[in-house]
Amino acid sequence: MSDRYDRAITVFSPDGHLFQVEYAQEAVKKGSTAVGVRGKNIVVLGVEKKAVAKLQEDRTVRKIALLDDHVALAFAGLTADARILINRARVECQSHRLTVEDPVTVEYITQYIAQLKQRYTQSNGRRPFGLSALIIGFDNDGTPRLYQTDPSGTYHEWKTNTIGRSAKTVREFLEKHYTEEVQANDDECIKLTLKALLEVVQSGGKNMEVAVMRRGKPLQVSFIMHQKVRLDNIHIYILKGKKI
Amino acid sequence: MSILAYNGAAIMAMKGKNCVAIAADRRFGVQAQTISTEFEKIFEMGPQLFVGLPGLATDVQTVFQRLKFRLNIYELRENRRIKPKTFMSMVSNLLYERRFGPYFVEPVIAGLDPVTSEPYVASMDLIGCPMETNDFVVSGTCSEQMYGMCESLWEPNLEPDDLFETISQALMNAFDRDAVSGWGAVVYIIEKDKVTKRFLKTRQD
Repeated sequence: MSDRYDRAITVFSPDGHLFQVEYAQEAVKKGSTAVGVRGKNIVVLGVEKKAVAKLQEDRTVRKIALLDDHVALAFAGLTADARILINRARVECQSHRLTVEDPVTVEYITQYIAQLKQRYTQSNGRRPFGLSALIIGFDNDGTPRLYQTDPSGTYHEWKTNTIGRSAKTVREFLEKHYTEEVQANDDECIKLTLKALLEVVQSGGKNMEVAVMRRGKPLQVSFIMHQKVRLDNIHIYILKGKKI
Repeated sequence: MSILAYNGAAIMAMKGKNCVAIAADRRFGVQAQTISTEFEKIFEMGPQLFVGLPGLATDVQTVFQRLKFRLNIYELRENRRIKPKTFMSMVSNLLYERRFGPYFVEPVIAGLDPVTSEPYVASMDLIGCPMETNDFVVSGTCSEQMYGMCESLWEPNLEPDDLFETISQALMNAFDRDAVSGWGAVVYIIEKDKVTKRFLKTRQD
């Protein structure tokens, strides 16, 4: 029954499914894992970096993108689709600043991205965006936020969440280990992100990237270069913080 | 009265030894009446990149805001600071987009290259024709007076303190010969590791 109803995505199947959207969600499940953790004074994003071919330049395949000074995004799914969304979101952040003379709230930009995704589930000849995004940042009043969007165009706020490959396993881990103490302590939040990623990341430490945003400070993106990451003394090489 | 002389302004920029200076008057007036003596005409676009916008005050503010928009997106996409020369092209593009209904501003750009720290100054007309020079650039209602002062006072390879003296004297004596500019001045000296902003005490007329 499904193969007759998923060509034009504007069409519902008889049992009420939008199959293209569900297939897009499958694409997300194949993407590399991303984890987001929200603390009291810090928000952290961690992504699994796929191993690059030997001859390929290991310049960071940017899976964590800065949308504005105070908002960042990590995604799981189709990289090319993500690029489009990130560009549109960046322009919207600036447009908001120009017209209302205020930086966007994290919810506003999440809503914008979600709305964009939804539009593509309801128009002719277009397929949905094959990615879920984790959006972190601080609002103007200093509140830290973490939101998740998915291909259907819905968005929800989370204390901590994961998307992409093995999301179920990682989410169970997070549910078990995310506590009030972790939330209050910056380092604990970073450690939780790393530990969560280590549950699923292949070679144990080389293929992760972590981005940290503290209130009022620019995003810091770090590489973990060591083969084995010992979480009690983390050797993090901090790259330049991006500031506009 | 020309639309470019409605609000009145005087801005100049000079190259020195491993530094640049940019200076402007602070008057905001409506023809003969002075409204404010604290009007900002020089805007920071990067840690060592400044743009001065003389001309119609509403366009001064709009051009700055729209320029900041484009610059922010550029820096997010490229993940690096913009070079002064590229920034000049960006300003020129923004102005030429309005070729047949232009913004009434004639910008002045001063900065140091983010990598090599080489000094850079440039100016352009209201439809974006750029002019890069090796010495100084001027723009505003008293541009002829400013050209005269700069041509006489400027010399190459001035140290930051000497450059400050030179640009201050050049600007002040030029806008003192113009009815619609003056009423205070601000001078920025941009060096590799710091930017100094100084206000000048001038004739308040």
